[in-house]
Amino acid sequence: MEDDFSFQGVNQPFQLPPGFLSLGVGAAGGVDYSTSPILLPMAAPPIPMAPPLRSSPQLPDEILEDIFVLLPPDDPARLLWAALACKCFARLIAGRDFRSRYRQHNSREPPMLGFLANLIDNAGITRFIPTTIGGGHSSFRPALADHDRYRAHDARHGRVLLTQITGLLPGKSKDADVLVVWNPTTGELQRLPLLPRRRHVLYWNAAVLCGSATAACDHIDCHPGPFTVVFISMEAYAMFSYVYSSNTHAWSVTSLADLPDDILHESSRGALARNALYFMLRDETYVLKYDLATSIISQIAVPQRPDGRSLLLMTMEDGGLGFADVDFFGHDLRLWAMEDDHPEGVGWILRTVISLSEHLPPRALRSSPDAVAFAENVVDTSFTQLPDDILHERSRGALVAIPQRPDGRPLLLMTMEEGGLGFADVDFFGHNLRL
Amino acid sequence: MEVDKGKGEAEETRKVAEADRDTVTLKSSDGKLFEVSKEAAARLSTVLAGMIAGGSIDDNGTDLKQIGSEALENVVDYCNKHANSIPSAALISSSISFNTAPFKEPEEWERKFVDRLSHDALFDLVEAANFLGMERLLDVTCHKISEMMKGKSPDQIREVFNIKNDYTKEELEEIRQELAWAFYDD
Repeated sequence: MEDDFSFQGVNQPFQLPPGFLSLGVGAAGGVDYSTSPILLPMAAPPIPMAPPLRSSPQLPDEILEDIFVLLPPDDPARLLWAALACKCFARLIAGRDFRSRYRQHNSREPPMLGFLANLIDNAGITRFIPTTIGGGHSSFRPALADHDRYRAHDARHGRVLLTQITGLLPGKSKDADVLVVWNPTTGELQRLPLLPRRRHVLYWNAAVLCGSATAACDHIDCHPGPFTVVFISMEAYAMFSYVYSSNTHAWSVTSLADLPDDILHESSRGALARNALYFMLRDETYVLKYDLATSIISQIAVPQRPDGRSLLLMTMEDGGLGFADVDFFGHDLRLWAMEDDHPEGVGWILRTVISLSEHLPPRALRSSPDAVAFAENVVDTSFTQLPDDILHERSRGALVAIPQRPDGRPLLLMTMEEGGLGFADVDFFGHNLRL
Repeated sequence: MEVDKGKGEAEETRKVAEADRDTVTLKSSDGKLFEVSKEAAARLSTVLAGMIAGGSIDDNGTDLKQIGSEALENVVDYCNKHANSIPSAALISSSISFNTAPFKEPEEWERKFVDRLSHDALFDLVEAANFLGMERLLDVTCHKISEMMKGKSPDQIREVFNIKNDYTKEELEEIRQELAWAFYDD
């Protein structure tokens, strides 16, 4: 279970694209792999393979695909093991046709393979925690499960936005924080250049998203491609938005606006809805809207909920903005949706109420639950089982979940919770995390 | 569903009788003859349906040179069993398009049917089902093979498919490092 791999320096990202894709190209034909050149004298003739073994499979490709498509998605290692049987299988499984078929076949209930937790030991660790599926854990593990001295801020479209914690008081040393984009599927870590005006940043929030023209991409396997990071910064007298593009490897300051009365809620994750990013302000009375097309920042009031706890911005099933909260007594998880076309500008409606006690064991509700996470790209009814209060017996600290599948479908899950003491040994009732 | 054996009448009468027969005769690559219900063959196999509709069925045994007698026997056995089981609407619709229709779990008798097959017979049957355009049989046999892959290591999967390992040690080690998660034993 424990990952014993040494940390790959951020300056040396994995050069190889996802897994086996990169392999097999340079293999010489006719090599007998059953021999070990190290153990055998040079002159030894190669040991012949057992005659009945085929060098190419008996069945045609389309039938092999028929078979592989039935391998269950909740245990991605199975697909990988099939790919490791021979290169022909690897090519099939890594191929675009197969991947799209596999997704189509398994589109109804993509499994949640795990989530990221920001733990507070050792000044901060971002840890991938696999969820429990059936009797065992989901097999997917990122190449590096723990990012020591990192904090996860956002995850979307198969990428995770981390900050490297450089100071003892992470919140106070913003000028030294380094933003890093991590691709859990490939293990690649890409360090972003420092912001041009970083030292002036007082409060900030940021989001990572696919960098291809937003409408054209279904974000199913775009994770190895270009990405964009949007960084909203509150400085002494004004607010700026910085946009990083991995294509140019540079930041651009794209807009500025007057400061709102409130400050950015830094540990509350933003949400992407339609073509805008939304970030919560500290008092939870307003949301900042950043329009990706126009770079215009505006504020949207959120409904006052005397009985509600902290709220969690999320993308609704129809692609619009919403938020989740838990009522004062911790009984219900509520999903609110924003209505753009409301006659008085923007309105909110309570769209769904989910009884927590019906979905969670009593011990999960002993400590007061809060909405901490939501899975993105989830469709239909999958929502109803969702995040609830997930964890939190002893774990505090932000939580980001990122279920990933080898085919790259980002089923992100994310979260937040203001840091407290405890940590480790997260008891999050994995079986309730299933989507 | 009794076969009309023909009783030595005049040629014309015989022909009429044959057109009305409710079975078709199939001939394997090694010359063995099998009879199968015409209705089931047409319903389960797009290729046979086409041949029946197009009149290219040979009464002395339609040649299926690509299919050995053991596989053909299984095909026929499957068709006959299918004819006897109550075909659910779901099954029929699932055979229309594997790509888009959701896969329906094999029914109990289908499970038993593939379970009793030897390894080679199963793979031969997959090929035969593919050749004859028998989507449902293909589903069922593919499902069986995917189950055989369950929990199997790459080595064991090679055994299932009877294929050679064409990765070098170095390549495997590289993958192992890159995708360490897949090699945990949970």
